[in-house]
Amino acid sequence: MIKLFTDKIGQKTVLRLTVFGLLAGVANGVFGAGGGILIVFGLSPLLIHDKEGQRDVFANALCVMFPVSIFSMISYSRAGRFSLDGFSHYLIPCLIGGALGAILLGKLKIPILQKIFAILVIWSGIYMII
Amino acid sequence: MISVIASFIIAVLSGLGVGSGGLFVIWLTLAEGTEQISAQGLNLLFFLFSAGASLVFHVARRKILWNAVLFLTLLGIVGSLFGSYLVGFIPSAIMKKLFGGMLVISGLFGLFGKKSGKKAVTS
Repeated sequence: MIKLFTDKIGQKTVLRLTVFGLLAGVANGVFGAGGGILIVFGLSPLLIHDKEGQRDVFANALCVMFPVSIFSMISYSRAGRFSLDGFSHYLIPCLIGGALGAILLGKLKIPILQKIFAILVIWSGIYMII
Repeated sequence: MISVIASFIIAVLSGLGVGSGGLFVIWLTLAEGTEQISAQGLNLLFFLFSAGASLVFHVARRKILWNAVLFLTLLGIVGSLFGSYLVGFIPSAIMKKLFGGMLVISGLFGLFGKKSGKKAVTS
């Protein structure tokens, strides 16, 4: 048994969290996206026991990826990798959309949406590769 | 106008946890012709606003394992600084293909990935 702050958790879990935490950060830094899914995998054994647990794990992943993304964004910005020109018109839809998504979570049939968008993401990925 | 609607839909999907974080990059690169690495930087900013707006609701409603979150965040920050440094050595054209590969993998997980129902590993 190992004490992670105040919770006693297994050595295997600490190792799992360490690996997934580091990989999620590297993915976020390299791709500017994509670390969240790794945090979901890392945290799943601790949280997913039912449908509610799946939503809990997503909320936890968001709590991790928010500050991590701040650091990635600052690094990108300091290296001059992007310009803010034209970003202002995304701001309001982005804020309202994000809040609406969180409110709707639990009220929509997410698995069907997830499958549709997984196909869209695969198609886009192949398009980018070729 | 179309880009405003697209960004709204992408933000809703992100809030729902449906869209991978890459949806805005896909929109910027494929629909608006933004350069790959620049699109990634804008995606980070987009994520901060959309996730920031949804985070308030999630934290209020969900069970958050704060110790694990803090532990993962610290490691994630170390990883992100390394990753952001690394991206400076990768040409944008190659980065686009790598990003495409990442999308295919995460899409396949979304399609075929099992939802874990295992008990907590606490010992």
